Amino acid sequence: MTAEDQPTSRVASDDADLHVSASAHLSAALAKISNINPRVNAFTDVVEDRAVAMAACIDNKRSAGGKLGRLAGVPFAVKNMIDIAEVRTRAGSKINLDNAPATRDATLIRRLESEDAVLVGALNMGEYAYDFTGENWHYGPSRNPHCIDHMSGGSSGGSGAAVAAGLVPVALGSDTNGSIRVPSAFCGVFGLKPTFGRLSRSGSFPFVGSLDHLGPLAQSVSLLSSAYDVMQGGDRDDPACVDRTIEPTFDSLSADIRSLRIAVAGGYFSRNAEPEALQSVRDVADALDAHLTIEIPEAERARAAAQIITAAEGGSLHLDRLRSRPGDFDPIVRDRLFAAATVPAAWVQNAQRFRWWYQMQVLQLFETVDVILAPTTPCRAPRIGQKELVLDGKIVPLRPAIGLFTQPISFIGLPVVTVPRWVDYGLPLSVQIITAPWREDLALRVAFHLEKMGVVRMRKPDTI
Amino acid sequence: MGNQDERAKLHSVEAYAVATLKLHGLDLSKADRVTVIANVKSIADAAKLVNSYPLTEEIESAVMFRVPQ
Repeated sequence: MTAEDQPTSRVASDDADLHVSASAHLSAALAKISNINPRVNAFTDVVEDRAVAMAACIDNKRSAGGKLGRLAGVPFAVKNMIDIAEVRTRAGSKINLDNAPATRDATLIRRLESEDAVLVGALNMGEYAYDFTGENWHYGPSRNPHCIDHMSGGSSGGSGAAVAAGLVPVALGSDTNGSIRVPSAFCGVFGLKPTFGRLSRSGSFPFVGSLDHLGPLAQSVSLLSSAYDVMQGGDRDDPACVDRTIEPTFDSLSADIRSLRIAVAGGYFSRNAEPEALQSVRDVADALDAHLTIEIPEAERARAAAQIITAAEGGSLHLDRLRSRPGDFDPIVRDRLFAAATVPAAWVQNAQRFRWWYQMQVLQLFETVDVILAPTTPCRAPRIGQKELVLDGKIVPLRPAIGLFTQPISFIGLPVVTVPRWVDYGLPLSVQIITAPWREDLALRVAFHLEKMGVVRMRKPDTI
Repeated sequence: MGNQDERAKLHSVEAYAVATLKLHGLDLSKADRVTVIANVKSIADAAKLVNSYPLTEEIESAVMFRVPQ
């Protein structure tokens, strides 16, 4: 690494620079939202007055010679299942729009703003996060900025679309079975699903308590790392959030990676994907000079177990709403939740037992490797409305197939950074950089090196 | 014979789903029946795959799931 390769700024996006006022950054972001959002449908709520006040406050601090936060002036937005004070938390639904507005901000918003980031609004998502497509029955689909007839991916579809379209350099999403990683992949941006329990979920509408994670999507690895760093820390308001010492990643992004043992996931992760998805993993592995292959055991069964637990927890969460307002759900989501309500306890119990066994097997792998590479999705972003996909010569239902490679990883809470890879002039692909629990630093470090090498990068859309 | 078995299985899944949903106070409309049953069958297939793995009885459930530190 040369001096040029060091992460030089906390605010590493094209649009954010410590020498430009927060108000100027915000004006640019609001103008983009006004011009571009009608085409990509990423935002559901814009909190302009609040953002203007926050930016002015930062600029006053700057004028007075005060110390600026690590994300000074960086505009950001959040998936609309994350509470913003005085805004109704939709969680992608029509039903929740009848709830009272949130009385306070979610923990992660407060932490980002404490470092002078500027919240500009809430983002579209799949209804109640039970989605991989970015489509939404009530508010319309969030669209892929690289080709607006194609899916953004979900369920954090607005988050992926907003970052890819340059509306905001960083956004928050949630990931239960892949909902940060899939839109990051389809939209060609960077994403981080942290270790389960690392970031507080307090003030977010749940889906599956034992699988839900919150995390950032961003235009660059340094911004992803900066946002992640400031959001760390325990939180008594989220019982799953671990009270662990903050482990910053930004300062070690450029540290040497030559000593890392990097392997490609074979077996399950080398089948059922379009050739370009697998080629992307090989390209990244070649760039890292990684020639090891390892097998994550029983990944297909892990995905099946994740499906059962998701159904059981998600189904029970929504029972009251299913009883009282069945006609106000997206019919596809309602059908899934109805089915989910029928899952017998014995299946759930066994899925949880399998989960423990699987976790022990996969943790053993990290005694011999530090990093595992795998495709993020089996395909590029499909067309909006597409229902089927051809994988390995077989026609399969599209929606569940999108999560083939993400579910077995989040099932046991491993941290993952997803990096966008462009193999041709088509839509982007993506690679998961997976590490042992609590080693987000290693995944971010590898991602940073790949970005510096030009192997992975965010690309501005041509079409908007 | 195979088709009859399949039909019988489908009917039993449907009967199970209708009865279980009724326990929850949910009515499964005729219009939604096909898609809901398809979803139930998908979960049942997943359960079959998971349940066929020979876990020893000593393995406890990870209901209070935590990542070890």
